[in-house]
Formats: sequence, C-alpha cells, structure tokens
Amino acid sequence: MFNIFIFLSKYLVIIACLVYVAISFIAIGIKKEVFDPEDYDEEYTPDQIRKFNIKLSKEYDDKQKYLSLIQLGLIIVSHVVCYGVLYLKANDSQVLVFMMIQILLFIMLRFLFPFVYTGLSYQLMNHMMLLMSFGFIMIARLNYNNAIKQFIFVVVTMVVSLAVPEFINTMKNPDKLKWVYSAVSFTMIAVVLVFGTRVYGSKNWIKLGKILIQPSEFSKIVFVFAMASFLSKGGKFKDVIMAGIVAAMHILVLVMEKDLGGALIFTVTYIVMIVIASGNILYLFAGIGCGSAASMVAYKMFSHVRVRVNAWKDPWGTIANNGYQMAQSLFAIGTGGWFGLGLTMGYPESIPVASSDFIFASICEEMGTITGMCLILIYIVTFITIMQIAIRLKSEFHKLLAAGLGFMIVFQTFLCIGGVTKFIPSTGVTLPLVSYGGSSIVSTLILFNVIQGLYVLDKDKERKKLSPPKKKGRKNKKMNEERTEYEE
Amino acid sequence: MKNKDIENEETTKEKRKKPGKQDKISAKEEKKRRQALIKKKKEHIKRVKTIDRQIYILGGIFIFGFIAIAVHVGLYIQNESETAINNSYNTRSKVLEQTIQRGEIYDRNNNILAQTIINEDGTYYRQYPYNELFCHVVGSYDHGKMGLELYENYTMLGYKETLSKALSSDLSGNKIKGNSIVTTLDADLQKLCHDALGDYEGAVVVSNPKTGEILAMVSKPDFDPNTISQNWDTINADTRSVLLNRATKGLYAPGSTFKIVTLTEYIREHKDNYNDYNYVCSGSDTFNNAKIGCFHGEVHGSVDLEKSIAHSCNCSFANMGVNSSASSFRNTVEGFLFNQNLAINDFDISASSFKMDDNANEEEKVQCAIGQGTTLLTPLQNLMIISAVANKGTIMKPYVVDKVISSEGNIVKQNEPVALTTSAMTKEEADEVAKLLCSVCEYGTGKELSSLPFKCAGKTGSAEFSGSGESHAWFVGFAPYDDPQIAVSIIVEKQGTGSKYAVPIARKIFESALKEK
Repeated sequence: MFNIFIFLSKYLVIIACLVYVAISFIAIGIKKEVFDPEDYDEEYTPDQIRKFNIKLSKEYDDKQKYLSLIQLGLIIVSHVVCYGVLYLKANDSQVLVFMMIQILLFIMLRFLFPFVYTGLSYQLMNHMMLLMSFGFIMIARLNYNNAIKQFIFVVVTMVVSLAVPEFINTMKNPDKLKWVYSAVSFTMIAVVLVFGTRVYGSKNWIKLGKILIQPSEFSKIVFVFAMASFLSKGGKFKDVIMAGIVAAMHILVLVMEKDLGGALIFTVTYIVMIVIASGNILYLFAGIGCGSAASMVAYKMFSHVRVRVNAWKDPWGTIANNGYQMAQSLFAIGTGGWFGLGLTMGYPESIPVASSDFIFASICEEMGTITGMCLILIYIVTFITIMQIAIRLKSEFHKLLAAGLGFMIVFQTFLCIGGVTKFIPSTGVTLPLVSYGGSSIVSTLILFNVIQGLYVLDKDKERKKLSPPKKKGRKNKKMNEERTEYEE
Repeated sequence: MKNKDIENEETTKEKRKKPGKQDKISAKEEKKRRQALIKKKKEHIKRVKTIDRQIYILGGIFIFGFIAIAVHVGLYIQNESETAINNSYNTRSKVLEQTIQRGEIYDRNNNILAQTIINEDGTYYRQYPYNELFCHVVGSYDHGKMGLELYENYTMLGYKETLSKALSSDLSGNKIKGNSIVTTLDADLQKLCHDALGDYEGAVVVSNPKTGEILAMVSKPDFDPNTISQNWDTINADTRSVLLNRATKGLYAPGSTFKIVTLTEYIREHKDNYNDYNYVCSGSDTFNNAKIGCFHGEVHGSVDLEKSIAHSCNCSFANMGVNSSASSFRNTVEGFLFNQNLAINDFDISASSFKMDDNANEEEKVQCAIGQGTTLLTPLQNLMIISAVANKGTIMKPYVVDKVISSEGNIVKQNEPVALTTSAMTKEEADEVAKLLCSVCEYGTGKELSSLPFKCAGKTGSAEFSGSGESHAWFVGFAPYDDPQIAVSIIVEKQGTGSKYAVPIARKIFESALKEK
C-alpha cells in the first residue's frame, strides 16, 4: 500500500499548495474599507462614523480570520500527509508523535500568539507556518534528528519573540540610536574575523561550545535598524553617505570573510533602502552600476567567485569538481519533473547540503516542481503582505524598517532559489524558514516577528483612534483631533 | 488636495477660537506653532507618499525577478531536463529502479534489442537477445551505462502514471513498467552489416538520407553487453578500444572520399564553366614542392571532372585544390558541419575537424583537397556529407530513437525528422555532384556496384594513416541514384583500398536493403 499512498500524497500536497496560494492571493486582494461620510447625502455624527468604521474593520478582520483558518487547515493536511509517508517509511511511531507536537505548535501559534501580538497579520503568520512546515518535512526526510533540532530552535525563538512588540514599542527615538545599531551590527560580523571558524569555505561562523553560530544572520536585522534610523529623516544626501559608510564597512568585512551571499544581501538592502527613503530612483542605477563594477573586480580578484561563476556557466563541463553541486541540483529538479518522484522516492541525498542551501531542489525532486513554484508564489505573497504592512505604517522609521526587512528577506530568497535553479550563480545562502540551520531559522523568525510587532503597534493605534474618547474635555479632544489629523 | 483640506480646517478652527483671556502675543505664538506643525505634517505626508511609491516600484521589480525564476525553471523542466538528467553523474536511476521496471528497447520491426528480466527473488538484470550485435548503438547497462541505455536512461525509467496503474502494480506487488523505446534500427540489416564487416575492425553506418533515420550502426571490435561485467577486465585491457563506438567517436582521415567536398568547392567557384575543366594527369605532379602521385602511379591522361572523380585522380584534385580560395574552401567544409559540436541526443559524437587558414600554403591546400593532411572526420560525419548529396543539399539530423511508448503501447513521444542544415549544398550543386558520383559506380573505382539492378552513386577512399603506407578503406554512397533510399558510410581499418574492402560491403547492403522494397 506504500506506493499508492505516496502516489496519492504527492497530488494531495500539490492540490493543498495550489489552494493555499489561491487563498493567499484572495486574502491580499481584500481591501480594507473605511467609511467616508462624504459618499452619502445624510449627515452623520462622529460617533456614528466611528461605529461604522468599527463595524467595517471587524468585517475585514473576520474575513481575514476565516480565510486564515482554511489556510491553517491546508497546512495541517499537507503536513499530516507528508509525515504519514515518513512514518510509513520509517515505521517508527516516534515520527507520529513528532508530527502531533508540530501541529500542536502550529495551532498554538495561531490561537495563542495573538494574545501577545494583538491583531497580528494572520496571513504573515500562516505563510511563516507553511514555509516552516515544508522545512520540517524535508529536513526530517533527509535527517530526522536535524528536524528535531530545528523544531527546538523554532519553539525557543517563538517564545523569546513574545517580547518583540514591547521591545519595538520602547524604541521611539531612532535618531539617537543609529550609532548604537551600527556598532552592534558591525561588531557582530567583525568578531567573526577574529574568532571565526571556517565552514564550506566561508569564514563566517563562530563556535560557542558545541554550537556553531553565524552572527551575520543576526547582524542583518540590526543592520536594517541602523539603516532605517539613518534614513528616516527623508533620506537626505548627507544621511545616505553616512549610511553608505556604515554599509560599506559591513560589506568589506563580509567580503573578507568570503561570505559572498551575505555581502550581496547587505549591498542590495542598502541600495533599496536609500532609494525608498530618498525617492530618488537614480540611486538605484548608481547602485546597480557600482554593484556591477564591484562584481567584476570580485570576479577578477577572488578565485572562489570565479569558481562559482564558472560552475554556473557550465555545470556539465565542470561536473567532476566545481560544477558538481549545481549539476546535482539540476538533476534533482529535472528528475523530479512537474509532479515529483514522491516523498522518500528520490535521491536528494546526492546533492551536497541538500537540507540547507539546496533544500529547494530537494523539495522539487520529491514533491514536484509545481510545489516548488507554489513556494515561489508564497514567497511573493509573503513579500506583498510585508509591503502592505510597510505601506500601512505611519512613522517613517517603521516604514523603512518593515520595507528594509521585507526586501532583505525576499532578496535572500531570490539568491537562494535563483542559485539552486541555475538562474544566477550560487551564492550559498539559505532559504528563509525552510532551510535547516539554527542561526538562519532563529534570525528569520525574529525578523518576521519584528514585522508582526510593527503591524501590531499600528493596529493598536488604530484601535485607540476608533475607541471613543474617554474625557470630553477640550484639551483632550484637541489632542485627539491633532493625532487623528497627523495620522491621516 | 487632502493637505489643503487640513489647512482649511485648521484656519477655520483658528477663526472659531475666541480671544477670551489670552493676550494677542500668545495667540500669535499659538498660530505660529500650529503653522509649523502643519508644515511638518505636510512634509511628512509627502515623504510617506514618496516611500510608498518607491516600495511599489522596487517591489514590482523584485516580484518580476521571482517570476523570471519561475519561468526559467518551467522552461528547464519542459525543454532541457530530459537531456540534462541522462548523465552518468546522475545517480538516481538505482533508486528509481527499486520501484520501476526499466523499459525495453525495440528495433523498427518490434524485435527486442534490450529488456529487463526480473528473477523470482526480485533481483533483475538486463538482457540483450542479439548479444554483441547492437553493443555500441544500443549500448550496455552494467559497468557504466553506454549508448541508448545511457542517453535514454531516464526515459525508460519514466512512466505515464495513472491511478489505476499505480493501484494495480501496488496490489500485485509488481514494479511499475517504464516506457519503452522504439528505434529506427533494423535488426536484419544490422546483422548483415555486422557479418559483412567480418573480422575487420571498422564501422558501418546505414541511414535513410531523406529523414536521417539510422537503420544500422556497426562498430568493430565489439563485445557482448550480456557478459560485460564478467569480461570487464579483458575488455578493459584490450588495446583496440573495444568500447569505442567508431561510427560516431572514431576520427579518421577521409582520404579520397573528401574529394566529394573538393568537387563541390570547385563547382561552387566555377559555376558557369566547371564543365570545361581539364587536366592532364601524368601519374604524379608537383605543386610548389608538394609532390602528389596517383594511386599506384597510374596515369589517367586528360581528364575532365567526371573522369577525375571516377578514377579518383589525386593529381587532378590537387590541381583543383591549389587553385581554390582558402576561405571559400573552409566555408564550404564548415557548411558540411565540420568544426562544431553537433547537438545530437542519441549519440556521443566527436567533432570532425578541418583546418585551413586564409593564407594556407599550397602544400596544405593540396593535402586537404585529397583528404590527407590534418582533416579528421567520423564515419557518421562522412555519412552526413553523402546524405547532403543524396538529399539535394540538406543534411537531416541523424537519429535512432523513433518514438517512446508506454507499457500499454501508447505513444508518449514521437520524434520527427529535423534538418541540421539545408544549405550544405545548393540543389544544383547536389544534383551535379550526384551525377558525377554515379560515374564512380558505373565505371570508376566503385564499378563493382554497376551490376546491381539499380544505379548507385558513391566514392571510394584509401586513407593513409601514420605515414606507414598502410591505409583505411572507405566507401560512402547512396542508392538508388534516381530516388535515394539508403546511404552508407563504411570504413575498414588498415586493410587497403576502398574498392577492394569497402565496396563489397556496400554492395551487400544495397542488394539486401533495396531488394525488399
């Protein structure tokens, strides 16, 4: 019965994914309506207007909640089906117990997390869980113990993250903190230069006891904080230069550590953020120009860059050595085809670092390229959701923060998937939320939770705005009016 | 607009304010403060709008990047993956074979050329009913796959899945049957070629010049793929390169068969008056230090184009070569697809090479013109040249896999004939060369073919190698002359002249293949 179960599971997961993606796009398409008394002839009192708005807001929230519950159901269905396959293969009831605990985590996240993150974005939450679910499935299929480790990292991070909204709330004066952020972020990556350990050719790991940590993963988040605080005053030329100096220091150190992917991510994040803050698209072209020039120099100067580029240009000719990984990845995707070979039926073990940098190829091989494309779409929709949040936010600093983090994570995804599929040379970065790797999953979860925190704060303000003023005193009312105007 | 509204609102509020107890100075200050606030607000709104606009623009660019990746992956799966995954570095077939029974390979008349036999205990092996007959083209399975077993490895491990199929194989405990391959090969013709080549080393390739279908492909020495594992040490130690498919990988000097190309070049350069060509052969000639002699020092006397090719007069062709333009000659040769790696899925092909600089000296030109010198080609390449002559200048892509069928016999994929180039020769050139090659088989070096009931066209060759005076025997040709059905390329290594060793093989092939039709 095993074959037939795998056969069915393959299609079930694909269908679940497709429906999930469809719902996600419907969810981001739902507009939040605001009652506008000018559309109507009748006169409305402010109180009435407020009531209408509360009603509309509740309708919107209910719709989102309803859709998100279907999505959660789909995540659980595909998770159960895939773990069912893994259970049949391993014939070990421990797998089922692990599955139950994971589903419990998903349910708790969905129903308990909002108590702290009041009014969080269910869409973002679901996308996070879906991506993690695929990670748990594929990591467990490749190495069961790694999946348990990954799971523990997730639980710990989510618990610690409960403090994030409060933390963001306390940081109201970013201007004074910009040097602090810069220093912290820079120290994180610079410390590796001194105490670092070399893994896979990049010297960007640090050994603490038995655990290997990649501080650049965490530095990324602080870096965006630093950039946002530099640029939140309209992105004047002076600030752009200051931020540029800080960014350049980071990038230089990363290049020295041979962390190609990291250097690229920092560069692109900086460029994107200055363009957004200043509104000057010329920075984008300047950035692309400088970036291309720097890439050419890097290609000429560093042999490891040439190796990667040559492996990308012709993986088949260099298959015996440098092109091996690229070729194995393409074999995996190609052999899997549109529908995949079925979970446990392929041979993703043949791809070097199949569970971290190349997990996308492993997923395509066994779960099908359609599923892989669904993942791409889910990353797109996640990105759009983050951008919607950034647009909703009122404070410039928060806007830049959310946008910066969103662009950073989506660019990392682009580098990872592009590198695995031979769209661009491989840069050795992880697939956010899916790849195995402690530092990667912890930092990505924190990043998502920071965005959630920003959203929650914004909703908080909105709720205060909608709630009736407690005192009808003139001063209070005036302040209220002032705030309302300011936030429009 | 909105900003203006706010401003208006503010001013009306200001107006509504009663002066009351407040003195005028503080009212003014209050007004200033408010105006500053409004200004700040306006600036803020403007900046927020800028940020939002930039987010839309950059976000759009990033999303476009993702869509580009998705399209890239889709195109890879749809177009490239099939060829890409059939690589010996892709080790997935062992995993797939645990659940899938590798499909069969058939010839054009449904004879099984390769099949998987499953023992009662579940172990399996690959069986080749014709033993060594198809060892190079169909290839072998054990000890590193070769031939079609390699190039179509994953095709035979694929299957058109249906729920009922998965269900029935699951219930019966059998493996799912993979797709099978129907080739263009003809087992009878293959056997005939194999026998005709006898104990000699060499290669025979037979095709349909109009479609590119390969009907037979023999390379010797050969081996039995059924027992390759047992005999691996012997096969590997054999210095004659037993595993090499000489038909597609063996590079030889073309010898006199290359005169077909030289002839094409001469006609091309002398469009209007090539019929007036005349040369007096005295058995040998010297072209600026390069001494050329005809075979066995034979004196051909006054020859035109027809006599030159019919008797394979070296001196006359050297004369044509010396007077040709080097760049034009090179273009003509490259028009026959020399010096390039051909993208042909069904074989591993060595690229044929031809070197001639624009300022090549006369010695080089002379050597090239008569097919000695540095020129190297494979028997398959030579077949493509003669096919261009037979097919009005068009070279069809040689192929072996006719179609892929599912285990129920439904067609999964049908290969259609494709032209590799339509401009190797013009139709007029091809017709003229074919007419001249016909004379070779009527009274020239290939006259043994003249007794056949149909007219043939072709060219013999004796390619000297390693300067030892020994030569490989060549023959390329097609028949019938009026309506070409069969093209052959034959090389017999180290034996002597094409007339003596290669032409008889061609005769057997033509006789047998065209008798049935």
